[in-house]
Amino acid sequence: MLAGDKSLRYFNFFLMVVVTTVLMLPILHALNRSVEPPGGLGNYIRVLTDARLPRFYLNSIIVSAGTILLTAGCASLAAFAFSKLTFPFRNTLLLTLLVTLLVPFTTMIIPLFVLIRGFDLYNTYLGLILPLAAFGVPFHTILIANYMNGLPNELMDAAYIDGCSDFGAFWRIMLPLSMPVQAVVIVLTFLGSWNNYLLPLILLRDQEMHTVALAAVSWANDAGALSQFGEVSYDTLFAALFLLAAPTLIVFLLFQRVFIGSVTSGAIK
Amino acid sequence: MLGRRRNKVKWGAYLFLLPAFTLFAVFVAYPIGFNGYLSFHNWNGVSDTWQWVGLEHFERMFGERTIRLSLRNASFFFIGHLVNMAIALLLAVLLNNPIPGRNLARTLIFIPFVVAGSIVAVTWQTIYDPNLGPLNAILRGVGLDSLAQNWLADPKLAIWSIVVVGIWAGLGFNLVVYLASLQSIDQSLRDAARVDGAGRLQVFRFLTFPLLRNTHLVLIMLGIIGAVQGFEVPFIMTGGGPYGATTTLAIEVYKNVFNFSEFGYGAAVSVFTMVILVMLILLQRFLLREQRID
Repeated sequence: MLAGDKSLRYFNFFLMVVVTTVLMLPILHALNRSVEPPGGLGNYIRVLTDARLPRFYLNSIIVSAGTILLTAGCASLAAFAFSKLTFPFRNTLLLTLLVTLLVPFTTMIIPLFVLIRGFDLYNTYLGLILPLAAFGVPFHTILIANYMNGLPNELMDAAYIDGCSDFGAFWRIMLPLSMPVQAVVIVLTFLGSWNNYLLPLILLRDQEMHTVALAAVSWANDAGALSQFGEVSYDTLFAALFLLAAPTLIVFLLFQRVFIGSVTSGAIK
Repeated sequence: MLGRRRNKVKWGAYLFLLPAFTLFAVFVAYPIGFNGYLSFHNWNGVSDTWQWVGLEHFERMFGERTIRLSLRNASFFFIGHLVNMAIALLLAVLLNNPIPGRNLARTLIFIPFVVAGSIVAVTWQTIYDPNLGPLNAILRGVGLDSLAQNWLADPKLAIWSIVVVGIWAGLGFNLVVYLASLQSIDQSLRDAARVDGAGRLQVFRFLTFPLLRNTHLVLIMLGIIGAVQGFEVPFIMTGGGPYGATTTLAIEVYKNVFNFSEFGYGAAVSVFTMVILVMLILLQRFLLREQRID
């Protein structure tokens, strides 16, 4: 390294602290309001003992877990075929998947609503999981296939010699070896399904089915915070927002390295 | 022979593709066709009959004020995204220096990106609240009463208030992408340039910035996709108002379907969205295609 001058380093540190603090102001504002009198920290207790909260968490957990399993499963199987097997129309099929990466969610609003209603899956978990997974599968297939392309083909030969079928080679060799990229798939699918607002909005009706993302908005509506008119009473709103955001925040802070790595690898590849 | 079995054509491969392509066919391919067909019809969402109307919905759409506003707003979101990229790049250059605590700063700045957009929207709604919100309170506190505004109710201001939310929520993402790219650039290149007498600004302008070209392009493409598809933040904060000032194509689709039961017209708007997006991405690829240096 070249000799940096000391005052510049102090300036950099100062600038970083100032910018980060300014960017954190909205969160500090919410944190401050969340313990506002008269409730104080009791606001959190009141939200935690609210009968609806466990149900919101449960709904989001079921939807996310289902979406992750279905996405990772379908995408891994397809990626294995694209990466390690020889078959006609391979490139055409791969190209078809690539093209769908360009289809906007907006285009899906009407057909998905009509389709899910027609399948009698409106207001069910499965009715939400299927389209969420369908939308994630093309991207993740390509991501996993890229990773498997880097695994030596000799491993396939060895698997065959040891008597593995194609599925055996997938299940015993390629799937376990692709765990690093599976972590990326899990993180990205978790973020995408847990935070999705549009699909639950159009595919769920009853409040007891609501995911965390929808619950935040109905909580704010109850507080009158989203209206330009009428009484606003924040009350437990901010405590509720923090508790609703808590699962993603905790998972993020625990698996930070994987999170940031996943998000950047998704963008750079 | 080794590899012979591997290279044999395997019809069984289609079994591996079956689950993925079934999902894809039912929930992606079929909906696109359904949408296109529906856009030439009138349908209220429940009746058994679709009434053919030809291009009527598309003609109506091009005369609609809300559609023009949606496109204008998409361009404002994109401008916001460019500002976002600029801030993110400067921050990334800053955090690429060995400053104590820089990992903590990166983590904190990334947090808004992992929080659900709906929670972000609600939080900012309370910040902009004209009476109770901290933004106006701060402005009044420092004696700038005249700058205190009704941030979301003023038709001119509302869209920019929402653009700012988008910048705040997306900054962490752009930052980590730029940081990762910066770290992949060989530090010795910059050191060599410095030894040769280039100033810090010159190194940035003539070395770092051009070397990040692919990252700029990816972020611009993601920005186009995000700008055209904008939905939840304006939908939650203003419902697209006041008077359509913050509306987006997705909000128009939603409203026509779920408020007015105009499924055919909604389908036409969503077909239009897809066409616009594909055209913009092709245009971007064409305009910013790899320049050959001979």
